[in-house]
Amino acid sequence: MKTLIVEDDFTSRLLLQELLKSYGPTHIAVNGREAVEAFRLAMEENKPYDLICLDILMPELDGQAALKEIRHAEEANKIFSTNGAKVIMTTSLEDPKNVITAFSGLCDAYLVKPVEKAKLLERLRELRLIL
Amino acid sequence: MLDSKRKNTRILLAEDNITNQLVTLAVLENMGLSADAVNNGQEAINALESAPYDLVLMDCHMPLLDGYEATRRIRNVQSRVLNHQVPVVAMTAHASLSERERCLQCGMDDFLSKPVIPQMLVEKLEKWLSDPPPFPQRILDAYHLEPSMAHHWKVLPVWDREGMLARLMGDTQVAKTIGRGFLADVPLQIKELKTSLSAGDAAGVVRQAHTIKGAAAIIGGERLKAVAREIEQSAQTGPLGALHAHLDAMRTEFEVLKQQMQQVFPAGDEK
Repeated sequence: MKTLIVEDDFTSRLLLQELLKSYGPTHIAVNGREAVEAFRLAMEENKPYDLICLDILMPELDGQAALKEIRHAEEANKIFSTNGAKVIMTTSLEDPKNVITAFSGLCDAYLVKPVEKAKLLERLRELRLIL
Repeated sequence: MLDSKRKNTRILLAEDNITNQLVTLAVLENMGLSADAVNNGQEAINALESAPYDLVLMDCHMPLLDGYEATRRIRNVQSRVLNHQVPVVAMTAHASLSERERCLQCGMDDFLSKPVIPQMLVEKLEKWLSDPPPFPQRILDAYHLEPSMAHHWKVLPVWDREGMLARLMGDTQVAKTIGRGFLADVPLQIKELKTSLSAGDAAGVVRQAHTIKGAAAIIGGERLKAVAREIEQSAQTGPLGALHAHLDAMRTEFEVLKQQMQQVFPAGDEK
């Protein structure tokens, strides 16, 4: 499982890296803009990400906008979200508007921070990324 | 730390299992402490109505009145319990997150998993029986808090290590890595926050405070998180000038948290 962690806070990045590193390589982007670039690059190299952990509140480009760009880029390459990268929003925002926006933007799961290992692994299993 | 107070310390042990009662009493005796033991929540309430106690060790599951309901009655200012603020340490066989939340919601302050490990019991007693750290006056000032609110602040733990570990499914190695990273990074974040504050950049203050709040939430730095949340919210509405005292409070809270964390995650490879 190849993962892209998109997160502007150092401690939050460290947490996700530590929780995910035993499942495969983890790459880092510190804002939405970097995330979209990293995503495109991986897709062009035919080594797309299996999982993207996406924060919402970030400088440059926020997670909601990055999610839209990522799904657009996939569709432009005839990849539809069911076959695309699994995107888990990891955010402290839990208001209905953000949750609804994220799911209508085709995220696959929504985890409210602080991320709990048990819940993260549960989502990964549901998304069939791990056994 | 405890020695001078030990003889006068009144502990109430509410536990229906006789073996657990004996083990706990033996550990207390070893520390030079004694406790009144009762067998259920109702007896605990009766005891707390007749004498002021310094600490209650409360089993969660007991006949007649369980530990949750007994604690709710202790906290209820309408009840005839003498000390409504007495620290209550839950003793529970299920130290899961949901169980912990349940304990906190009914007013308990801390948890011990069963079977009780003597070292853990000693830690909790040291924590709750030693004099509370002096309540920083400037935090009272910053928040316009009444001194009576001090208890409220005190029950907010500096570091909820058990909470952090529970979120990591008990992985102490990961906790250590994240803990060290946190201690190295947060001073930089606080510095950035100060820069934004001095520049009158409200959006920057909100963003930085939000970042620190999120990092503190991972670690279980509950007081730091509370100060960060306060700054984040205030900066969205009020004038920034009032936030300099909050920034001081934030630095203080970080230092206190750092002290506690460094005892567990010593910064071995640092100068």
